[in-house]
Formats: sequence, C-alpha cells, structure tokens
Amino acid sequence: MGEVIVVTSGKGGVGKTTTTANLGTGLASLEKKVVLVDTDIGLRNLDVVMGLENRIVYDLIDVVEGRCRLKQALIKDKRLETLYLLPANQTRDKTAVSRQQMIDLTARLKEEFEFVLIDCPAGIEMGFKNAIAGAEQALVVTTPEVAAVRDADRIIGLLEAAEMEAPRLIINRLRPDMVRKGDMMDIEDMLEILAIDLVGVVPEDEYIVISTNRGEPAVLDRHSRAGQAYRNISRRLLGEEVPFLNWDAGGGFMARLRKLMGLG
Amino acid sequence: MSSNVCFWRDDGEKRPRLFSCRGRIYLVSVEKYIKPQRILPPGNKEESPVSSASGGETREAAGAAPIAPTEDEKGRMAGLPSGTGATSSNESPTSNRQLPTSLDRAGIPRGGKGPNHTFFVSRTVRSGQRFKYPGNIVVMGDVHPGGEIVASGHIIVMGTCRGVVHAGAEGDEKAVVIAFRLQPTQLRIAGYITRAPDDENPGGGEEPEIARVQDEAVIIEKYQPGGEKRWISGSTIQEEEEQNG
Repeated sequence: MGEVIVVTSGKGGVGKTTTTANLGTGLASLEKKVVLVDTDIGLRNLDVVMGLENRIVYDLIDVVEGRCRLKQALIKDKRLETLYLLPANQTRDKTAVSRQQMIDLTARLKEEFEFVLIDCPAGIEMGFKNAIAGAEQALVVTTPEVAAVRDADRIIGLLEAAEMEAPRLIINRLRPDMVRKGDMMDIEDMLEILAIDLVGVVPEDEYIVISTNRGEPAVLDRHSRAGQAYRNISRRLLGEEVPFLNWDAGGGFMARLRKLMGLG
Repeated sequence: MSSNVCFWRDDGEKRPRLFSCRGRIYLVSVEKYIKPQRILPPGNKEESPVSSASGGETREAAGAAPIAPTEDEKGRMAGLPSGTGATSSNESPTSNRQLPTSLDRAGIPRGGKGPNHTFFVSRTVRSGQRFKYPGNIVVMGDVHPGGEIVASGHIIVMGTCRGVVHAGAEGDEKAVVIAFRLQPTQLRIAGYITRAPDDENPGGGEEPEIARVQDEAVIIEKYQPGGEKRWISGSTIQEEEEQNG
C-alpha cells in the first residue's frame, strides 16, 4: 500500500504544482513508483510543467465517470520509467468530481503505486476538499510572505479539522540574502507562526522558471539549487535524515565578506 | 502523390509506433488508439446523469456570479436540423434547460442535411473551450493550447491551430485537418493520435498545411490549392457511392 500525499497551500502561485512535479520526479528518480494526480480541474497545469500535455487522451474525469480504464488515462513520464501522471480535465470544473469518487480513485492508485502525490488547486472550496479527501498526509507549501503564511495557517487548520496526519511545511522561494538583511521573513518566524514540522526549504532560483517553461523538472538538474532542495525533500519523505542546505553559501562572496567583517 | 510521405514501424516496441513525416519534422503517434465516438446533434445532451446533476450546480453558480462558459457549451449549437442517424442510447431528457452563454452566438450552422453540414466558429477557441459537432467545423480564428475541436468530418482552422483537433471522430479516416498555421498539441484523425516529437519544436507554420491519413499514418504536407478536391470531395463522393450500394 502506497502513501497518499496532498500538496496544498491555500494561496495560489506559491509553487504547489512545481513542488508536486519536482517531488514526484525526485521520488521516481530514487526508484519509487510514483503517480501524480492533478485535481485542478478546469485550470490544469501539472501536465504542462511535466511536459506531457501533448500525450493526454483521457483524464481524471473520464476515469471517475467510467469512460476509460484507469490504466488508459495514466501517462508515463518521458524521462523516468516509474513516474506516471493522471491529468485533470480542462473543459469541466471542480464540481465534476465528488469527494467519494476521489476517495475511491486514490484507494485504487495506492494499490499500484508507492507514492500518490495530489496537486491541490488554490482555495478552500470544493476543489480543495476533493483533493484532500483521499489523502493521508499533507505537505503545505508557503512562501516567505505574510499573505501566503496567513493562508497556510488557515489550510493547516482545515487539514487538522479533517483529521489529517500532522501536515508538514515546505518553504518555497526563500531568498537568504533578503532574510539576512531583514527584508524577508525568516524560517524561524514562519515555524513559530505555523507550528508544524519543516520538511524542506527551497531557495529562489531562476532555473525554476526555465525548467517550468521547458517542461523539465529542476530536480533532475545537478546544478540547480532549488533542484538540490527538492532532492533533499524527496529523501526526507523516504524517512532519511538529510541536513538542510547551508544558506550562507548562497549569499555570494560579498555577503560572506560582510558577515566576516561583522556587517551582515 | 505526395513525395514526402515516409512512415515506418519500430518492431522493438510492444505496439507498432508510427512516425509520420512533415518535411524534416516527424509526428509521433501516441500509443493509444481512440475508439470512434458518436457525436450527437446539437440539443441532445450527451452527458451521463452524474454530470448533468453536477451541471445543475454549475448553473446555480453561474447565476450568482457570471462565470466564463464551461463544458456545457460544447455541442450546444441551437436550431440545427437533426443529423441523420445521430442518435444516442444514453441521451438524457433535454428538460434540463441551460442558460445561454456567449458561446451560443459564437457559431453559425451552415449547409444542408446529412453528415456534410458545417459549423462555423467565429471566434478564437481558448483553453478549456471545446467544440464538438457532427459534421465539419471551420474556425475563423485560432485554436489555443487547451482548446479542443472535435468533428465527425473535416476541420479547417483559418488561423493558427495550437490545440487538440480531432477530425473524423466517428471513425472517418478520410477526414482531413487544414490550418493556416498547423502546430497542434495533438492531432487526431479517426483512431489515429499523433503529436510532435519531444526533441523538436512544433515545426511547420510557414505555410498552410493539410493533415490526412495515408498508409496507416497521419501525414502533414503543404496545402496545395485545388488539392482539396482530391481529399475532401473524394471522400464525399465515395461515401455517397457506398451509401447507394
């Protein structure tokens, strides 16, 4: 039996889809059998980020409404053998699927896969409720902004009310240089507000924009710092103890020099 | 005949993989075969009871705050003559009246009775919009990625075609797709599904092109004025001959 993990955030644009794509690819590159489920019906993006848009024939709605078999709708990744995607439908909306249908679907998926990663839509309405319905664990993604942290807090409350296992936090798009100058919330501030376990910190990285547009997850790029962070999170999801990235290295020479001179 | 046709099978694969030629750009066929589907004439709702129930919720939401038209818009081109033989076993009562959307005015049906009438879409087909019609479809605009055109006959896109197009969706392998700029996400004709290869850009786009099925592969070639007589009228004539006996 596999683990069903929902990736959620409340606020839009903080990196749920990017995180889902990268963690799925990261886990699959560690030879786990992974399926990514896009539940953002009507505004699907995960297929584009994975570069699999042109392979879609059937989707999640076709599966739950019985127009095709589950195997027919699963799209095999073009890079990794053990990674699959179940795409969302683009012409319907969130009401096209019910909570019970999602529970049944995830139950079938976890029989075959070691990890079922669910990409949750933004918001707290029906799409969110459907996405968390079949999940056992949750990863909450936030960025170091007051609005994103506020929404993450709301989401954690809803997850706890839904009796989810303790949700874990991913801090995305952190800029260590700005944190050092005191212009950005730091990790401790966020952990104090949200009071949940941290599973990873992903630094801001230009390469994410490039890889997202190309449809190639950054986790496969050895030189991407965000990719390194996602590789570490993937290993932590497997229960390994992986030390957090050293942020000072990202600050550049001048920042280190300033710190040495006691100005940082 | 077209000189740039080339396709071959890779026997190492479980299923034969077909490659279709377009100059130096090859289309890769997806390892799935799509079954012929029945396209109902407008007015007949094809959705299963499950989705018509959820459709009701959509309408309420739309009444409270106008939302961009959703899936209900597909195949709802009112006032058309019923297509011949286009009936369905699972059609639900049409008492479920729908609010008019702007897409109702997006197209005009033209042509006579039978499978040869044509629906005109006089707007850009955007992501999430889907037009499905038992006949030909002509789009006077672009088809964006995420948009979908499904016709039992031919499809002509006057602008750039970047979405999913499915001609001959009821199984007619003689159906063609013509576009001024043909760069589809996925191109389907009857049961054939093709896409551009991963390692090359969509290609084409310099001149109008026509896609059709030949020798168990989809080929794309430059559209030759006058050539449509061969492919479009040819299939009609042949169909009529078949019908006549």
